[in-house]
Amino acid sequence: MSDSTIRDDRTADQPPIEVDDLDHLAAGSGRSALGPDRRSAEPRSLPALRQELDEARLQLLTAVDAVAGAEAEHSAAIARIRELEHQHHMLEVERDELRLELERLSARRQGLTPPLFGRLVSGVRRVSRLRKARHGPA
Amino acid sequence: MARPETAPEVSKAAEADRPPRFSVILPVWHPEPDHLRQCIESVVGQTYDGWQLLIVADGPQPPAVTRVLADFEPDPRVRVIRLDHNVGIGGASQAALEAAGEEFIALLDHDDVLSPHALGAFAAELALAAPVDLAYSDEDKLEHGTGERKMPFYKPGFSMERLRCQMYLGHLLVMRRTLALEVGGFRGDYDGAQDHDLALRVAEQARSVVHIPRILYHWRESPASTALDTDSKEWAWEAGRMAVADHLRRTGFPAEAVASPVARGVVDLEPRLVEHPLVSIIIPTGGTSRIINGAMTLLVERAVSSLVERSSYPNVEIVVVLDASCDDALVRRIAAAARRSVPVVLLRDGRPFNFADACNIGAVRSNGEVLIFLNDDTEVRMANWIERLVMYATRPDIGAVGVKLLYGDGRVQHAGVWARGGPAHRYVGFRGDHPGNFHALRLAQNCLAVTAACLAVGRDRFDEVGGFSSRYPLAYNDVDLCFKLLQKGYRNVVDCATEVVHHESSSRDPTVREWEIDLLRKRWRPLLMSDPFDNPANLAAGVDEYPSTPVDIVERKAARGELVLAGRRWPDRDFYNLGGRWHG
Repeated sequence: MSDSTIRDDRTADQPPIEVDDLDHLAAGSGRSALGPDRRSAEPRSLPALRQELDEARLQLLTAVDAVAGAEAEHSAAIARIRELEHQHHMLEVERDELRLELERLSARRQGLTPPLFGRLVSGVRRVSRLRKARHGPA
Repeated sequence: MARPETAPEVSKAAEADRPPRFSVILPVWHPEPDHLRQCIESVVGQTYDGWQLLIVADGPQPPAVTRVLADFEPDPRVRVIRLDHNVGIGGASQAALEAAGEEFIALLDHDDVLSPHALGAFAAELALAAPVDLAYSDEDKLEHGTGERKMPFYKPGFSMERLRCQMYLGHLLVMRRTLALEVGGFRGDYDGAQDHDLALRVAEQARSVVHIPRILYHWRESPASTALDTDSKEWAWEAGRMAVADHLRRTGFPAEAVASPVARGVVDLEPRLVEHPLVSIIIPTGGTSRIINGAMTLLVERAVSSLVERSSYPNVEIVVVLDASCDDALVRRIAAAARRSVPVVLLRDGRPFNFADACNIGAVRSNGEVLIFLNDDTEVRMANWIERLVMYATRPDIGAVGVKLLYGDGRVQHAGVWARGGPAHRYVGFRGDHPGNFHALRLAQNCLAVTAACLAVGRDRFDEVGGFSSRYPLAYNDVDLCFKLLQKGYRNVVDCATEVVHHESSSRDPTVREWEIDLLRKRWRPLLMSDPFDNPANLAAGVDEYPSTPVDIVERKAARGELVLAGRRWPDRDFYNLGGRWHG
């Protein structure tokens, strides 16, 4: 770490302002700045420890963010699946209704008697209800 | 006004094992007889029948009123409680509460008219599994004389911060009877704001609060009503201020309730901090200069000098994160700007510019209990802006806190973020003194997110969610941070009574890239699709929150099934489930 102290026009009772150049972050890892083995028992300098602390805290933030992001993506994916399942279900219902309409028109064309047509309608409706029950509300 | 209305909610509520039932509470004191009759008729004519009506005649009434009451008394669902003498609206309401027998009470004013399906809509919502203790709906007004519907108030989802500043929940307020009794019921000392007082106490304890984004009652304008003349009940506003003051005492909120000098019925919160924790103000900068007020200005210098000269907060450190291009001459100017006894830390980050990384390293290197992230193109004008942010940021249930940001020319740049498919600044371009939707631009309220141009957050919460995500180098890192806080159960706040100037986008390229919004959608699609603090009606009419959408446009669209919220039909139960609830 290269600290440069800037002299300015602050009053005498104020400490000079120091600029910390965060070169170790630019290097991508503190390893080069800290030496080959961080686990070494040899005492390290205060700036080196500070660098290591910086990096550790940033790594912690990154790791926690990754967990939060993964949780969010997980929730979003589940919500999306539910939404698509709902749309799928609604399309099935719509298809059943269209099929019902088709059967009705077809029955009319073939001149089927009302009782037979009624049984056909109730059968299709039953299928629709079962589908709805299986999927539940969206 | 009357129109044929269907009530599919009725069947939904009836399907529940024990459909919710309501004791409608109606205190009466010398009302206009015709108005009272219409009010009662609107209850009796409900499409949902799970209710009883408790009318409290608060002392002797004029003969015409007595006749109206007598007309409805034979109805077994209507009960008239006659008090010997006038005890005031709080006392009368309490008498009704004590006599109520149903699971929920519904508060009603004698100058209100319920929509025919109002109670059915509430019943449908309350029949859902999650326990709801407080519920409210949208509203509009009936013009004095003509009865024309106007001034719809399409409300946001529940906002404790807004309720603290304004009784925006309205009249038709539904709450669990047992909870209303537990918290002490109505208090006569707060007559005129007795509903605000009770709503605050119930909301403090509520397991969840629900907003039904539909106009379910109509508030009649009359010369004696605040609906027509906001000056007509000065005492009521004062009672509201007292109710908020009492709430602040109960909850230990470090502020004093002050009547807003510019908005009737709005309570300003003046910070009265007991402690002044160290606040770290973190300013990432590339050392940009631009012309402001005709003079070439080094933005960060202006930002630092304005906050040092104008801020009254006593315990601050400034952390400036410089990028590699900033030379020693610039550093000297920053140091000179912080000429008073404010500790300054300067960090020079040689990495390629990444706003999120710069903020994170600033946070790591700072010592404050509260962090304020501030753009270098901001300018402080209010002395107590830090106190106002700290007042919220130190609350245990608050995540990020933002302010109203104004462009240099005084127009609104930011008043919180809402999601309309993608995040956007609310009220951008509005006049700086514009009130917003029912004073939204004058008070604190919850919102999805706030911009990091000025964002305060407690350090513990910042660490808990992993700070700013480096995956968003420029745009949306603030929105992502706020969403992570929401995900953890914190509420985000924008305090529009606090103003900071922001010469926006002079410090960075304002263009948002497609991959950035895609990344945000991947993480936060449900929130982006259903903003609980927006109202589908505003969205449907294609207008901003203000001016309010004409009632007819919205209702015609709803009737035609054209009203959609980001692909969801409205009303849609999923909408409430995703965002319309508030968990206390």
